[in-house]
Amino acid sequence: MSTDMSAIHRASQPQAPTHRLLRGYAFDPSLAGQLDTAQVSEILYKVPWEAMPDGPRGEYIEVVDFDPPSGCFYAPVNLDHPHILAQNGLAPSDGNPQFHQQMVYAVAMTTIDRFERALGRKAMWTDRWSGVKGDPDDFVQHLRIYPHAMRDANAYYSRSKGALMFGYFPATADRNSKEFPGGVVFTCLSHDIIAHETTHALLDGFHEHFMEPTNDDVLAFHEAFADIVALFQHFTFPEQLRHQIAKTRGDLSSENLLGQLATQFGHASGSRGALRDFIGKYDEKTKDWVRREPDPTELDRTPEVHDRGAILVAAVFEAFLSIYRSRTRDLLRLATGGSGVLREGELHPDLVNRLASEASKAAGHLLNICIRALDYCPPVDLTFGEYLRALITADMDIMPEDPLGYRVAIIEAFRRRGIYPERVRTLSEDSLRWSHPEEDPIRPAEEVKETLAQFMKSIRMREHVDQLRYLKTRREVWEKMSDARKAIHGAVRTEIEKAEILQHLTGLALAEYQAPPGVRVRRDGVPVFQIKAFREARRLRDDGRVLNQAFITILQEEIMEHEGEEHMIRCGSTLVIDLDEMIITYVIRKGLRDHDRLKRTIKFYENGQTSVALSNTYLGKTDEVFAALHRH
Amino acid sequence: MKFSLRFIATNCNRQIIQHLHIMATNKKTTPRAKVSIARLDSADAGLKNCTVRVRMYRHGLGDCFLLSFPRKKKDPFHMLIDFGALNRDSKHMLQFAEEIERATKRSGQAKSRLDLVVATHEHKDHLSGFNQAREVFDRMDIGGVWMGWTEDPEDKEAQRLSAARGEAVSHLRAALDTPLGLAAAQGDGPLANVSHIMELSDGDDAIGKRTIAEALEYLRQRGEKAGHIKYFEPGTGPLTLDGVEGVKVYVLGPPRGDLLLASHVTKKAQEEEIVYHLRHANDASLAANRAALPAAPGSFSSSETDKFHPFTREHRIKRGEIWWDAIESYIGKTYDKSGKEWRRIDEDWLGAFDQLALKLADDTNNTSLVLAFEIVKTREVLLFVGDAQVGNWQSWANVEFKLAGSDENLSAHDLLRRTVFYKVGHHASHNATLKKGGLELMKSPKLVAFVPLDKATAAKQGKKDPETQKPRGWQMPAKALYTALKQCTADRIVISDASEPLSPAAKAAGVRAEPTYCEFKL
Repeated sequence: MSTDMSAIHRASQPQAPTHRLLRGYAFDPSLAGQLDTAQVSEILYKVPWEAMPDGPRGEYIEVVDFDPPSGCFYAPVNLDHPHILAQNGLAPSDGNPQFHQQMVYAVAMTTIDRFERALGRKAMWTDRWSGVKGDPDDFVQHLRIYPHAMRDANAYYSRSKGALMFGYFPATADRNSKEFPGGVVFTCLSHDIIAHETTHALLDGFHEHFMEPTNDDVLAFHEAFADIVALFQHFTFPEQLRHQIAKTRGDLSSENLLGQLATQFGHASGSRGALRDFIGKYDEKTKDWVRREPDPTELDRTPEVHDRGAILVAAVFEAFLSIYRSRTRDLLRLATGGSGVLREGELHPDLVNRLASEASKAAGHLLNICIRALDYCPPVDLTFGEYLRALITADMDIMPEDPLGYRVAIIEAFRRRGIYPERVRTLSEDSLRWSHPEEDPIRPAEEVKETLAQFMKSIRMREHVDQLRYLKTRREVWEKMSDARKAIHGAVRTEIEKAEILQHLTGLALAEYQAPPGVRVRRDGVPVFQIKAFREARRLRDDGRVLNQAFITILQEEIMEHEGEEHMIRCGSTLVIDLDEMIITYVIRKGLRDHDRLKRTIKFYENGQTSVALSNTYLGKTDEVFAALHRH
Repeated sequence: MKFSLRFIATNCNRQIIQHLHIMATNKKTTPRAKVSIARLDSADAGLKNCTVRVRMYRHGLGDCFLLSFPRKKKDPFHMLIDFGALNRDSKHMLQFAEEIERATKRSGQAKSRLDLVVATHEHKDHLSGFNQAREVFDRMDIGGVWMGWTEDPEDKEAQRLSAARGEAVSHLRAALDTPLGLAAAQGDGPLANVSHIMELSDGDDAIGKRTIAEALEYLRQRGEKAGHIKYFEPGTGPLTLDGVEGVKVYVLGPPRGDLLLASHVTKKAQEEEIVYHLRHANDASLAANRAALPAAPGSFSSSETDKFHPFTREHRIKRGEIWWDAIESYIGKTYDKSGKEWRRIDEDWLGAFDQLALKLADDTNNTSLVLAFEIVKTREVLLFVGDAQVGNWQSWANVEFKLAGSDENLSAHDLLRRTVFYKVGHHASHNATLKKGGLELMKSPKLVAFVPLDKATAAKQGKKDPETQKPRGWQMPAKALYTALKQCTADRIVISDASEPLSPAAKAAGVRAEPTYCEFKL
């Protein structure tokens, strides 16, 4: 038998790694310069393995280090270089652009990985709209990252470029700040800023219309969600977590780094503390740190996007703190001989470890709940109250029992900040949970159920989902998803009976010749609508059962006039489908002709016109929603 | 306001609406009405039986208002509020200055006289005429000059404001002094908006190098020569006009204190009393951006620009220069890849200059002197807001006037409630008329609104659309505001645009339109 020279002796070959370890700043470079935090200023980021000769440029992101104001490029780092592989990446350094590339790659990939693990499917970037329907170039393979895009205290996600733009700027000349006056501050070296911007991109890839402000909450939610992800990622830093728990003696509701975002940025741009602190703030008069007390009326007085978003983040963070407290109560009793009251002095390292592990677990759970709730959101015009409903519903599906009281903690924290949904009777779990499809007033429930099952069979729901599940690359998944969307669209369009059922469920106009004025109609009489998304999820329930689900979002526009102005109002519905039972479990709807919503939206548009800056007059409307929002 | 909704017919989709928008902006502009100078009407003819006559001149995109108050046994009191326009040559402006001169002629005197000249704020569309038609004003009498406290050379806060503005202007000028600035002047390239906004304070076309600051300085000197120059604080009033009976004047703005001048009030600005809301960090960023401008002549030496680079020299790889071949293949796969041009960022960083130019324009607008004229007998009010932006408007909520012989103060909002004549701010752009605490208060069923606006000029402003190669135009009037104004005034809204016909409602209310001005009497 002759041996093929190219054959590989498998037994001696190493297995491909599952992860790549990369060194980076835990929060941002500022920690390295202070004695008490220097020891925990660095962290090893663990990102999914992908071979990359240069870039970094992998499956999800490509880093392009072009610095237009400086008129130059910086050489791309080769993370597969043996010297780099051998020492877990380049050492953190703010003077080395290759390390900057490594840092943005590491944090962005960690964030994407976290997102995917919560959802159980691949993350997609928002499609580019080339103007041609079905153009394969609409698929955006890479989110591009420009670590040095501008000289400005700003970083933002640009949808129109499919890119994250990070700025750098000289720190404030104020010598009282903690930064080196005039030294360069890089936004691309801050874990929080990178995670925040990456989350913007992920969320935009998930819900494209969450960047369209149709009420005070929409953009605020974008900001809040990006902050939530950045914040809870702090709890995956083991050493930093232990350090802060030791420092606060286990009380995470006192001032600590974990509950703050963008420390260096805050100091460098001249404020006393971090850019955002969700537990407390510096009192402007006494210069003391004081805990933030929830105020149920604050929301009404806070239209500004970041401030409003901070209220939502604070609510989620408070829910986390209560869960953490209830998870650690027994530990504290054990450690204190039953009293639960800690003695003076430092905590025992074992106790610190155990507290840290509980904190990390609780944070992980809560972040999972927050991300999974996205599946249960309406596709347009989201409000904080609706997000609360999505949180509760998503969690009830996965954890029918709630032994540790997570949901109670969430509801309470939201209530204390005045975040309630409209049109629910009480703030109990059951009334917050999205309602099941309404009973048809005419046809018997059984018949509707039967038709719906038929309907789902005819659109080959299970087949689509099965095909999706075994695809390798994101492009394949994207192509399959658009096929499925087309197939569903076709099925609804051509079969009027099905369209009528769906129309009834969603509150949209789907059946031919039944569209009310204001809704566009195709030449064949079928109203214009769009199957925006088709997603699947397979999640393990608490009781060991597997939950097989599909999510479909349908969109439609209606045009209406108020005081001589025409307004386009987006409507839409999310259908949550149980694939095992072949039933529609929830319909989350923002239907046509919702008079209250129309009024609210148009009022919002009209008020908005007086509050935006002069730029609309002089520059016209901009498509860079976050460019101005993030300027500091 | 009643909330009535109407659903649009099915075929009226978004594309069609967008198309209509485009059609509207591309519409062939009607040729400017020829300026035909009416023969001199005796100056005070037609001033009988009224307390005040307001003339809005139809000279272009800019403000020029002549208020005339009849006096007993005396020539009427003439007050000129602003005289400026964009894109108008001095010949054109001279004709209008001469018309003002004729309208202010006094019986038995050779010289015409403006008893008061009011300069609301330092922008070309309000002051250019004092440069362009300087010779006419030189030969006229000027009895006094009014400005806001922001123009007072002795005022500490005004000094800080002007220093900060000066710095911003120097950054913007530096940007426009580069090759990018040449294209910008044609409405092309990334700095086109900067160029257009900067024109508001630039020198004007015909007179050459005189800047708008010089126009202001000219008026200052005229005021000093006449022994009557006033820099007003908000809350000043009631004032009276020399010899005019039954009219009181109140000053509502510009607001004192840094907060309200800023359009976006930051916490930090409150803490540190920064007048101008450019933050330190941002200032430094601007210097860094300025250093990055292509071939910025002489502004920074190379060692100076070097300090703004984030990395040392050995890291920088320039296109086509040393080490370029080492990275060329990666850049070819990514940044330079054809079909991926939409992801490039070559010019995005210049947006920092756009933002600065906007802030500058915004803040200058907010320094507008805001005057309310009360007719004592009828308690009716005429409101002149200059180009006051949101911050200025908001401040009026706290402005009060002490009245002699009364314990109760008169609030500025009370004056707004009694407004029957409103000079619409900033040529009816959307953020220069506050709805809440502004227009919503003006409930008078008699309300008349005058809008100084030349639509053709407004449409010529702004950056060129890359596809149509036509300027995008400034959004004046803002559609929503215009609709609201139309509603509040029951169509008694008058646009200075010479091609704009007078609405029957305005005519019925007594507004008269001549080719060169629109007139309203109270």
